[in-house]
Amino acid sequence: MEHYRFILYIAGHSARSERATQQLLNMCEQALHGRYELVVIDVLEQTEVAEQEKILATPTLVKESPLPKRRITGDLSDLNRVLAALGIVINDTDQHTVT
Amino acid sequence: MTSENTIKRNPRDWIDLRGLNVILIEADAVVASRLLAAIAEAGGGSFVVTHFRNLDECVGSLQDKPADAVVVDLTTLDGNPVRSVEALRECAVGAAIIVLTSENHERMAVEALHAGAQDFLVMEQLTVDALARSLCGAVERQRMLQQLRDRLDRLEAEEARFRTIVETTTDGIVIVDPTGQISFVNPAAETLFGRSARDLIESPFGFPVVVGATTEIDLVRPDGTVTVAELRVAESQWEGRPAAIASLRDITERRMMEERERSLMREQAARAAAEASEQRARFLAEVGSVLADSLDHRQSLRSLAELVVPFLADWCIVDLLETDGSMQRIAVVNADPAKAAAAQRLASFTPDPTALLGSARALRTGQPQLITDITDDFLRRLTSRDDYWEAMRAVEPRSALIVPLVARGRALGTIVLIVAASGRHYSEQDLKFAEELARRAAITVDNARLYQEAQAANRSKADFLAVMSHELRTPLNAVIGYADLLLMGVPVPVPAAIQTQIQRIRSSARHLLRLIEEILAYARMEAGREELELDNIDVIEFMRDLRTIVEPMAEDKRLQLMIDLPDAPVRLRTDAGKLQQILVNLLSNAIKFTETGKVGLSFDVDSGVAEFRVWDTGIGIQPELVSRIFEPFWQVEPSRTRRAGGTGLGLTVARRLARLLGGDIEVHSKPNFGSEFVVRIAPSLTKPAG
Repeated sequence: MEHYRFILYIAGHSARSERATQQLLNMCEQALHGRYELVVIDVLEQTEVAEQEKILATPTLVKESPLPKRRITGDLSDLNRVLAALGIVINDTDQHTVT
Repeated sequence: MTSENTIKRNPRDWIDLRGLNVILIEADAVVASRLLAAIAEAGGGSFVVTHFRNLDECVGSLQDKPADAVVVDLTTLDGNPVRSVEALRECAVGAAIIVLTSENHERMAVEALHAGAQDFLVMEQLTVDALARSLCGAVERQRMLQQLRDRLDRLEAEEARFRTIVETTTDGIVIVDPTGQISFVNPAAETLFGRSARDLIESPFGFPVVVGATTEIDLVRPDGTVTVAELRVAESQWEGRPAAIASLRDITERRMMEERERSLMREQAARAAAEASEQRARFLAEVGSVLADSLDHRQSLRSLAELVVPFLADWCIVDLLETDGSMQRIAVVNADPAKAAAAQRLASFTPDPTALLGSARALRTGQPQLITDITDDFLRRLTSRDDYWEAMRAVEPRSALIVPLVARGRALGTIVLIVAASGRHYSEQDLKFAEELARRAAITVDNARLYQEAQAANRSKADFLAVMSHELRTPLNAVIGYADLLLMGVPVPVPAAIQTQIQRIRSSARHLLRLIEEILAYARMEAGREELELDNIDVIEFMRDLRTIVEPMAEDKRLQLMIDLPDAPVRLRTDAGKLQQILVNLLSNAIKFTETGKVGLSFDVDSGVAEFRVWDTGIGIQPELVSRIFEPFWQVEPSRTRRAGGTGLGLTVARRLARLLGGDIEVHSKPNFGSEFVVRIAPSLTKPAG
C-alpha cells in the first residue's frame, strides 16, 4: 500500500493559508485514510527552504513520494482535480497507484 | 522530359505579363532597336518598354515610374557591372533584373546574380523565346519574393503587436508545461515574482489548479515580500506541447483594502460589544438600585420587571413560589400598549406549579431555559388550560428566556422574558445576562424573606416579653401598694423596727419594678409598638418631678443632686412620659456609678434644639467602651454588674426613645472624673416659651 509524503508551502497565517491547510487535511483524510505524512512549511519563516525549493507561489503542494515528484499551485478545494494534478489514482478497491 | 515540357509552355500561361513595364538599358543604339523588338515580341505587344542609354537616365525615370523588369546589357554598359546591378537593385525596388552578358563572361554573370540579378542571358545566343522565358521567370520570382517580403512584414507587424500586448499588459502571464515548469513569462510576471525571465524559465511554478474562474495565491519574492495574485488558467499549447497559460493579477491592494475594511468592521464590532457590555453593566447597576430600593421584595420585583421592558424584553413575567407551594404572579409588564388587555389576562392567571413546561419546569429543575424560536406546538404543550393558552397566544411570543430565581440552592420563583413584536431572538449571551439578573433578584427575595422571618421571630419574642413584664408588674404593684399602706399605718401602726424592714421590702420592690419597666419598654420598642403621645410640657415642672423621683436614690448614696432649673419658663412639645423615662434612666445610672461627689441635671436650648445634660463625678467610661454602652444587654464590666445591678437595657432603651423623639443621646466621659450624657430633642418638637 502506498504511503504518501506531502509538503505544503504557505505564506504566513492568512485566511488563504488556513484554507489551504484545512482543505489538504480534508483531502488526505478522505482519500488517503491516514496513509500520508504532511509537512507544512511557512515560507515567510523558513526563507532558506523556500529559496532552495524555489517556491514562487503559495499555496504550493509538493508530492515528495512516491515518485515522480509533483508540484501543484492554487486551489486545493477540489479533491478530484488535486488528485489528478498530483497523479494519484484511486480505484474502487481502494488500492492506490501512481501514474 | 519534364523540364523541357515546362520550358516549352507558353510563358503567358504561367503568369499574366500583360502590361508589364520593362526598362531596357542599352548603350548601343543598333543593338537597342534589335532588343526592343525582341522584348516587344516576347511580350506579345503588351509590354510597355522604355529604353535608356545609361544607368543615370534610368535612375531618374525609375523615381517617377517603378518598373516590373529591367533588362540591362552589361557588355556595352560603362563602369563596373556589379556596381551597376547593385545600383539598379537600389533604385528599381520590386523590379526583376535580367543582365545580358557575352559569351565567355560567365564569371560576370555569376557576380551579377550575386549582386541581385534574377537571371542572365548570353547576348550571342539571345532568342525571343529565351528572353520571354527569362522575363517571365524573373518577374514571377520577383513577385513571389515580394509577396513573401510583404507577408513577412505583415507577420512581423503582427508579432510586434502581440508582443506589445504581452509585454505591456499589467497582468503577469506565465506559461507552464504539464510538469509545472515555467516555459515563458512576460515582463509583468517578472515584476510580480521579483525575478528575471532567465531565472524563472524552467523553474518549477507548480501545475496551476483553479476551481471556478479564479483563485487567489501568494507570490513570494526572493526578498520575502508577498504579493496576493488572482490566478486564472487556460489550457493551451506551447511549442506544440500541451501547456497551461496562467495569468496573474496583482490584487494586493484590493486585499489590503478589504483587510482594512474587515479590521475596521471588527473594531466597530468590538466597540459595539464594549458599548453593549457597558450598557449591560449600567443596566445591572440600575437593577441593583431598584432591587435595593424597597423593603418589600414584591415591589422590588415589580420594579425590576418594569426596568427589564423594553431593554431586554417585550414582555416580562415574574412568578413567586409561596411557602405553601403555590405560585403567585407578581408582575406582568408589556411594552406594547395595544396588548394591555392580554397583559391583564395574563396577570390574572395563577401559574400551575405542576405544569410540565415553562416556569414550573424551571422551578422544579432550577435550570434556565433558552427558547430561540417559540413554536405553536410549544405554546400548546405549555398548559392544559385553553384560556391560558389563548392568553399566551395573544402575546405572540417569538423567543423566550425562562430563568429561575435560585438562592441558597432553593428556587424561589421565575422570571420569564419574552420577545414578541420587536422580532429579535434570544441568544446564549442573553440567557447568561438574564441569569445574572435572576441571581440578583433571587438574593433580594431571599434576603427580604429572611428579614421578614427574623422580624416575625423578634416580634413574637418581644410580644412574650411584653406580656411577661405586664404579668410581673401586676403582683409587684400589689406588693408596693400594701407596703405603702403598712408604712402609712393602715390598718394599724407598725412598730419602728418593722417599719425599716417594710421600707426595705418597698425599696426592693420598686427596684424590681423599674427593671421590669425597662424590659417592657425595650420589648415594646422591639415589637415596634412604641407610640408617641405628644403634649406641651413645662420644663421647670418636669424637672422638679424628676428631682422627686431620683432624690431618694441620691440620698441613699449620700450624693449631692444638683438640678439646675432654667431661669425663665420654657415649654416643650414632646412625649413627657418617654422623656422622663430617658432622664430617670440616665440619672439613676449616674447615681449607680458614682460613689462620692455630685450628680446633676441641667437644661438648655441651643439654636432651637432642647438639650438635657445629665452629669456625674463617677467612675467614667473607658474611651474604647463608649461606643458599646448603647448595645442591649451590655454592661461596662462584669464585676461592676454585681455592684451596680440592672438589666443592661437602660441605655439601649434611652437611646431608642430619644431617637423616637427625633433626637439622640451623646456621651462624653473621662475615666475616674465622670461622665456627661446629652439628650437632644429634635428642633421640630421644640417650641419657644409661650
